Amino acid sequence: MSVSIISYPKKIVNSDSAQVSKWSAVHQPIVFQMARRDYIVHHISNNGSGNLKLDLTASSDIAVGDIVYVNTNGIVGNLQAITGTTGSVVILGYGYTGAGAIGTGYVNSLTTRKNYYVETAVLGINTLTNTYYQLGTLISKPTSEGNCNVDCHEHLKSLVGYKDQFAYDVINKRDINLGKGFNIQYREVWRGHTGSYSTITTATLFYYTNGAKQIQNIYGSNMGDYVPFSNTNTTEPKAKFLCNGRPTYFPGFPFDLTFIFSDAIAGLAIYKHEKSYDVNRTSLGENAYALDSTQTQAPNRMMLQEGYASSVSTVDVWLEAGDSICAGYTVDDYVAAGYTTLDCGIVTPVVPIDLGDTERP
Amino acid sequence: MSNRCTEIKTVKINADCVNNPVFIRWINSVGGWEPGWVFSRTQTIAVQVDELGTFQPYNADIEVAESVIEVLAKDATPQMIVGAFVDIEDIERIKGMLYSPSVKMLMNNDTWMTEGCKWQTIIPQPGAFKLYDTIETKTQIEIIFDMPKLYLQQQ
Repeated sequence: MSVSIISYPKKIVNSDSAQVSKWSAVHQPIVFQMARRDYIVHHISNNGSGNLKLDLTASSDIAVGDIVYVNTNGIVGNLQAITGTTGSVVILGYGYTGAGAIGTGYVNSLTTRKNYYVETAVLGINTLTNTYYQLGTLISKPTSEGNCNVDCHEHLKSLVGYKDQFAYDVINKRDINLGKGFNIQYREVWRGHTGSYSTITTATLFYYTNGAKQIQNIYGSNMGDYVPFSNTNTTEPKAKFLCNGRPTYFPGFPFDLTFIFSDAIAGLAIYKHEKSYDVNRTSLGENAYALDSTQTQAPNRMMLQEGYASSVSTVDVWLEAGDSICAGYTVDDYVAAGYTTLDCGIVTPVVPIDLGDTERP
Repeated sequence: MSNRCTEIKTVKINADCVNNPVFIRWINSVGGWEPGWVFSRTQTIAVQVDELGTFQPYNADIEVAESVIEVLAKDATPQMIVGAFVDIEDIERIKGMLYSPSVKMLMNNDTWMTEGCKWQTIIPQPGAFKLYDTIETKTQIEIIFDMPKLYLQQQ
């Protein structure tokens, strides 16, 4: 495939390359940058008549008289193919008397591939069946040099909701109104040619949240400052809850904190710690409670333990990431009775046989 | 081994006994449900009524006529004005309600634990708000909520 993604909607958090946030605010652009590279130049040389001769790494569809975009070895621009366009060799109407050299760039076939565009299918995830379905497609026309931006956020905006559907009956539960994962696949189309879609992989599995960030916020529209990372990363500042300031719990009324149960901590045992204090900020004890680790890869609503003694004035709440929840079954060929597969790590949605036939949930 | 992976969030507990509690919560701008706020003690109840037009019936015999003008329809929006005396740090949180796309009021304060929460969408009236002076530590706020409109008959 000669179109590829050169930039993803992700950010490195706290300058630690092990902490990569794939979460973006859905009300702002979520952009993949793509690059069209029709043919890679293998070698450049003088064709013997003072013209530039390109050896490509694959057989090309460039014909005599075609205009091609060239960007290799410092030669940049739209040039015309003149003779000898057989196979992988292209000779251009461009004076070149220099020595032969290893090619460093690429050629885009502009005349033959008329009305070229990249068609990107944006895929949502049906949480119930854990399968992808197609939300819609985007058409992006690159410039001659081949770069284009694909902004998925308008399709994803239709997935977020504004209903409070948390029942306040479990310690934590994902709220898919507040965000989820998505994926993309893409193909090249030009007149008389429709390519096949790229394979869906976890490399393009990204996440959105129902938020908007402000100008000059750190990480821009990426939610990097709200994404928890695993227990091996100890850099500060740690992930924030999706909640401003110091909230107030009114006993007798619903209360929960929203946090991003990120892909980075999926598959780990996550504990909620609560440390209570009296009015003089003297500690009254600390407790840890295990969260439901199947609710990953979406913003979660998390309840407090509640039922505090009347002496408790404030409660400090935080999350800790522990060991892998998959670690228990390491003996070869041993399966315990009643054992079912744990969701270890990132849950990868299944790709249906025909995406076009899958219904939106 | 486990390591802290989030900030430490301090939650204040307000266990005051309150009269007439009104529990409001909303989606904040970063995409979380903001833990709510209880407005208590007293609220002002109002109703905003608009007339959507009138018509003049033809009276063939004015001796028995009932009117010269009739109402086509009216538009009634119940309103509730809430007030509170709150810390500045709480205002910083509560102000998010004013520009949230989804503000909910708990309708079953006494029974939500057994029957589940019943929410209604209410709309803080838009406008420019003076919230507090930076020299203050506590301040008075007042917010007007438009409650769901009434469905009414139309002639």
